[in-house]
Amino acid sequence: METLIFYTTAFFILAAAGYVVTTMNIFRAAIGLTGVLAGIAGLYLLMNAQFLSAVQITVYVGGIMVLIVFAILLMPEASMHLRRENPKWFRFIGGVSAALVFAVLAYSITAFIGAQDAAGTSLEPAAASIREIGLALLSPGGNGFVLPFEFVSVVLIAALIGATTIAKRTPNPETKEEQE
Amino acid sequence: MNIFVKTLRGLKGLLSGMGLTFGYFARPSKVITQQYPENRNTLKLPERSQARIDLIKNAETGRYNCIACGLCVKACPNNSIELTKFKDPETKKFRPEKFVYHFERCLVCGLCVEACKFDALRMTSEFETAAWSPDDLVEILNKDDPWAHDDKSDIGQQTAPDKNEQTASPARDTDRQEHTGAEEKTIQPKDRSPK
Amino acid sequence: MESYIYRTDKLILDLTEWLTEATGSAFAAEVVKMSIAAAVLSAFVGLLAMILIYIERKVAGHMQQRVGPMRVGPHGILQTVADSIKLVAKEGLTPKNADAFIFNLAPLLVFASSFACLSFIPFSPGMTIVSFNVGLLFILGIASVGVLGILAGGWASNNKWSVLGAMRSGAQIISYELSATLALLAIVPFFGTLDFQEIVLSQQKGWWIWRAPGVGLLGFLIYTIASTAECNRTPFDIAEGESELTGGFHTEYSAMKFAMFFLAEFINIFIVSAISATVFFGGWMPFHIEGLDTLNRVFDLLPPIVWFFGKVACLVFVVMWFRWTFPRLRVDQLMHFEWKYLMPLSLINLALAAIAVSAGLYFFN
Ligand code: SF4
Ligand code: SF4
Repeated sequence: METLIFYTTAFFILAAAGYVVTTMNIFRAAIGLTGVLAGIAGLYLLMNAQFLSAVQITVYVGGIMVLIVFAILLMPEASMHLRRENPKWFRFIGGVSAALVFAVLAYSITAFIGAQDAAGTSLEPAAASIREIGLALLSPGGNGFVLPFEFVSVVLIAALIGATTIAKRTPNPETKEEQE
Repeated sequence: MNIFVKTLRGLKGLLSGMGLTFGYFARPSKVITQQYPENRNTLKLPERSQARIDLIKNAETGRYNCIACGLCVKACPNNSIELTKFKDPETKKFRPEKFVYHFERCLVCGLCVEACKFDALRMTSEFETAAWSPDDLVEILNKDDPWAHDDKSDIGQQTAPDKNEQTASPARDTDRQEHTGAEEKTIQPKDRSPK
Repeated sequence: MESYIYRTDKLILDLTEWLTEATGSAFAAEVVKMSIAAAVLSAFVGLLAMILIYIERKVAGHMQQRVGPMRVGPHGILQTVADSIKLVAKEGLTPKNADAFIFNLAPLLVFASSFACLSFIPFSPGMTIVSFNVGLLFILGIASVGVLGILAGGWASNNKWSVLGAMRSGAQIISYELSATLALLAIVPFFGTLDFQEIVLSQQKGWWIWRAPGVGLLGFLIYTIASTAECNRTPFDIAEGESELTGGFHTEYSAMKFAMFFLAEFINIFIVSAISATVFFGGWMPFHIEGLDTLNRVFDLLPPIVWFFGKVACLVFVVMWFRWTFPRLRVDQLMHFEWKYLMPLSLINLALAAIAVSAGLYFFN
């Protein structure tokens, strides 16, 4: 039964992904992308990774996608259907890079599975509770991720400050605009 | 510090607003909405509600207060009032011969009442004034005067100033008589006594 | 039979057992159970929206010294039924130059996300349709998908006021989502779980709104404000600013598609109130005061589901009360309020909560 659900979801994801790259309307592509991301959240659920699934929905579907859609709404060109006007070699390069990415992914996945098989560990996904995830994120020990965690927060702070600086209204000395 | 004071003051305002609305909510007796057709018999309109105008009678003499000065006719933006006057031989004062009120043109603005310097005009709260034809809405307000009775045939031959000759007086047609007959059928507001 | 009302967890267990026996496999039983749940939930949603709309109109009326609907049925109780029939019978228009696919998809997205949230709500012991160990996180995530539907609907309408309304709406929802989430997160350390049923169980000794010292109350206030804004309700209803935007993102929608937006709006009110009731007011847990056993037993007489709906009803009433009292904010005031006051406040609240938890500062231990 799980296999059936997996294949249905996987088919849905692939179809949506195909739609994203083939449609000529950028907004529809964004909606398709939402479908892909939500489908992936479904796959996580199937693997019993509920926390990851929730994070996937919160961050990607609820956060990133909304951001993308917002960006599209701010573009005047969004409502136009784009025309194919790229030169032939664009498509050629695209095809080659897609094939390369696929090859790398396929290789790494098979290698990973092979390594797992060799080590004799099971491929069954372990259901990690939030407690474990939280401890792992914040423990400084060998299994801990506190350093990357802190780095990420520094990067985010930098991004926030940068965004504020860009968005800040530069005070005009002549009009002496009152800032509330 | 300022911001805390401001916040507290704002909160106080919001809370008192909520208190007010909850007060209304908790006391259904305060509801103003009238369930109109059902409570037609017990309907109580607010004192200042405005509907069609009426003349005021002097309680002692039984005469209308109106001295036919024509101020209301001038004040009316829609030319809804037509007035003919005559000199009363008894008092040597002008009295309205026919005070014709075209309710079909009136917008119940109250400017005429405001203009009247002699406390002769008022707004009533009679709002059930539906009629079958606009002509039914033409009414003679000083109808208690014996000479003003029911005969509207010469309406329009007025002496009072007329702002717009062409549209001011409705066309006289022969149907008029029939409609005047039908006038008894229109809803006659009950409360007509002066304040 | 009677005990089932109090012990709904037992009811669910027995039902599962009986279904497994009847169908012969655990999987089939699960499927049947889910179908029942879906059917019940659908009926519930329709009924809930109708009742909420009726109550909203009545509350609105009485708060303004009016009476609300009075004509259809005694005291107008059939008014929403009549309205729904009218809505269903209407013609569903799609504007000529609209993107029909997305235009029709958008209300579904909004509705589906609200509907999905309902399945995480703990109505009664054991009565949660999907029981996750990260239920709270999931519900917050899914709720944010609704924004996409609103943005898509506004864009696909091919109407610039719709787009403007959608963008206002979207900006507002994602901004206030932060405060709402942070306010809830501040309470999470106290109960140490994200599973809704466990959250309720952790409040046996007292509801978190007063058990968590100060933080609970502050969190509740922040959450109430932020969730009101998230539902796009007055005083935060600039998205629908009728005078400027003629209805905002759903200007072009009619008939069933409009009904879906409308339905989703009212379900959202229910959901945020239900979350608030569960997290701050003990969900279906009856009100208990330690030591007063007689009183506690009297309170226990009411079945948990009544407790749950009672609490939710009170919170929904508060939200309606806001709507019919407060004036509307301007869009810049709205953003100022969120980013300059509410957000910092909820971050402070979170820090305070962390300190309180690590110091073991609970009441009613
Ligand atoms: S109420 Fe206004 S419109 Fe009517 S008669 Fe008086 S002045 Fe004219
Ligand atoms: S203004 Fe008064 S007194 Fe003069 S004509 Fe009109 S109603 Fe009569």
